[in-house]
Amino acid sequence: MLLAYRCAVASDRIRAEAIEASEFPLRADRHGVHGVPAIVVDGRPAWAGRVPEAQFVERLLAAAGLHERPGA
Amino acid sequence: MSLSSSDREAIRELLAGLEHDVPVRLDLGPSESPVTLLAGGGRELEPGETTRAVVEEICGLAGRVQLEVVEHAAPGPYPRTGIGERIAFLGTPWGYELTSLVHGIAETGRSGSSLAPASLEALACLDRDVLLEVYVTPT
Repeated sequence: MLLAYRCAVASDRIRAEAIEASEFPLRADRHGVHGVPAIVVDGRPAWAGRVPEAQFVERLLAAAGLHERPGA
Repeated sequence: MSLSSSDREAIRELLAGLEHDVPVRLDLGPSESPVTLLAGGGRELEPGETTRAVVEEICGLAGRVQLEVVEHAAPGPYPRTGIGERIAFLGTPWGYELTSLVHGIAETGRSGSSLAPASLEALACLDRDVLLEVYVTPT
């Protein structure tokens, strides 16, 4: 969760919301959340599980439609 | 639910490092999907009251955090704790997520990011707005 918050603070293009799945079961069901943390980008399930920072950013950008880091 | 004295001291220490003011907005009201929360011993907790108590206690530990509480009559995604303009927690923050919330306040109140330069460079490529939702459970 902290990585999501850090990304949102770093980029004014990102809004990050943590959602306590057991208190919002309908939202969690809508996104097919079975394990946590489950990451949803723009309403679409992106991945589940904790990953290191570089991978988190990479997956976030891929889910947002940007596949590569600059120069990659 | 109340913070332990050691938690209070750790939070006070962390938030003492804030470099600028951080607005926190707590939205309370009937939940869009009411659930029963149970604490240790089977005691029933009301999410709004519990969240208000925790958030007020945290914000009271830092001089640079301004808390606004907004009550709603209609059901919605409550309790919702917004930090600054772009981060929020929906639900009752406790356990590990309480730590994330406190660190979210700390990150918002910093002048620089704690992300690696490579991550910042990559995020700078975003040319449209993105909503990142992270589903968690209390641990």
